[in-house]
Order: sequence, then C-alpha cells, then structure tokens
Amino acid sequence: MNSNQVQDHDFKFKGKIKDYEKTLIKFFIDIGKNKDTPSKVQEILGYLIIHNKLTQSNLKELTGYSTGTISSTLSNLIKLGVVQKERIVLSNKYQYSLTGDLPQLIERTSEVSYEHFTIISKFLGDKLNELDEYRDKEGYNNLHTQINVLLGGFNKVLKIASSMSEAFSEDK
Amino acid sequence: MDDKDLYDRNVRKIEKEIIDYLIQSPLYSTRNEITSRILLYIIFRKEITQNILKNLTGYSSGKISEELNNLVDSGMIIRKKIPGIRKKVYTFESIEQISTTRVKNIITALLKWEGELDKIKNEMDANRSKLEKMNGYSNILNVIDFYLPAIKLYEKFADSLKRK
Repeated sequence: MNSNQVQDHDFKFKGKIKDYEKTLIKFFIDIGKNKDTPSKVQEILGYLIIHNKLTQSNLKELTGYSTGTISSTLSNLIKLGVVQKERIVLSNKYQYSLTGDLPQLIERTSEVSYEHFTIISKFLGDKLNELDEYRDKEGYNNLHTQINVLLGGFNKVLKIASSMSEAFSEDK
Repeated sequence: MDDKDLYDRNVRKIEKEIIDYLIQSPLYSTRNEITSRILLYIIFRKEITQNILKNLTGYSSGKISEELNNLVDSGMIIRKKIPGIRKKVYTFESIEQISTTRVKNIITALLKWEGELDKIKNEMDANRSKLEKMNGYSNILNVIDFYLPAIKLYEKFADSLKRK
C-alpha cells in the first residue's frame, strides 16, 4: 500500500481516544452554531482536522451522513479553499485533506474571502447597472443604497479578517 | 413602514437574483441557507417586517420567527416596534457591526470550551504511557495543542475589538 493511502483501520479510534474525538466534534459543531455553519459542515471539517486525510467512505462511516451530503459539503469546502482533493495512487479513490495546517488555514480563509469579495463586488456592480433601468420604480432607491452599503461593508469586514489573521501571524 | 411589499416586480427580481447569487457563493455556501437568506433580506431592505419576509422567502412564520429571534439574541439584528401599528420591523446597525458581533460570538463559544479542552489535555498527559500507544493519540493532541493557545489569541483579539 502506498504511503499516502488511507488505511482502512487508521480512521477508527477506540476507547478513550474515541471519546476525546467525540468531544472535539461536539466542540466544532458548537463553534459552528455561532457562525451559521450547519452541523454537517462542521462535523466533516472537524473529522478532517483531526484525521488529516480521509476518503468519502471514511467520512460516511464516521458521520453517518449520506454520500450526497458528504460529496456536496466537500465540494463547497474545496470552493472555499480550505479542503483539497487528491487521487490515491493506483486507485480510483480520492482522499480529502485541509489545504494547510490550522494557522495557515486561518490566513488562507482570509485570502480566499478577499478573492470572493472581489468577485461578488464585480457582480454587485453589474447589478447596480442593471437596476438603473428601473430608477423611477418603487424600491429602486432603497436597493441601490443598500447594495452600496454592502459593498462598503465588505471592505470593513476584510479589515477585521485581516487584523485577525495578523494577530495570529504576530504570535507565531 | 408599510407591511405590504410595495417594490416593483423588476426591482424585486434583481434583489432576489443578488441574494440567490450570494447564497450560492463559496462565502455563504457553507452557512445555513435560511439564516443567510433572512439576514440578506434585512440588509437589502434596511427595515423589514416578518410578513414581508414570509412573502419574499416562502418560509413558514414559525421558521422565520425562530431565525429572527436567534439573530436578535445573537446581537446581529435589532427588533423595533412601529408606532401606531402592532407590527415590528427588523433592522441592523451596520455590516461591520454584524461581522464584529459574529466574531465576538465565536470567541465567546471558544472560551466556553477552554476548560473542557484543558481537561482532555491534562488527562492525556497524566495517562500518556497508556494512551500514546493508541491509534489517534497524536491526532487528538495536535488539535488540542493548536486550539488551546489559539483560544488565548482569540481572547486577545476579542479585547482589541471591544476597545474599537
């Protein structure tokens, strides 16, 4: 078996270690509640944080979620830039891992947020132009104003994310 | 404020397209869709009643009410009474305030777990000779060794947010 393969027994913890794993998963789920992240996302991410590398079938066994739920959650986490997918050598299976260690992940999330905010800002700019066709219609003024409020807010949010990332970098 | 949605249908259509786009973007796709949709309508309307939210989102009154209560309790949005009619509107202070509140709430939750993680760390240290041979010992320890100091850093960060 190649060294980067996930051996079937590796992901199954037992006894006290399994209890600690369960507590950590509860911890991840609880933190998720405060950032509107559904339990399934936090649970899948939590197992990846603990195990480093897992296949979809490992995750299915650990979480009990359906293949569809696991697949779509992993796909969203990949788009967000926190999870990566790689093919297991000499196999048709893929394994999933975090894109960096935990401190790198905090920095990476901040960078990815910036990228997506830029894409969203461009989309909102296009929508403002589209909206101009209805400038005499009810709701135009409010929506126009609030799109700009959101655009202005993005910059402030990015500053908060960046100062959080800096707080971690300084302490490294 | 009226309790009927007076928006032109084309304006409303653009508003919905924006909200659908944001919810599907990677920044929101890992969040709870119902909460995000309600919060985004509050942001785009600036002030909105529960009735208009129900018509725009199609969610049940019960679900909307539950989500609004959670958002008010978390400090992200504000509930205001409208003088003259027995309706309430939901509004927000600023995007920055929503974001800062989210961060503060996450930090509060992290701090709540500090003791539990510390307890596991101490147990693992005390029983090291027995536990370290077990599969997963280092995995658990690595996660705790990251989060315990990280919680302290988050605490420091929360203090800096309070001072702002």
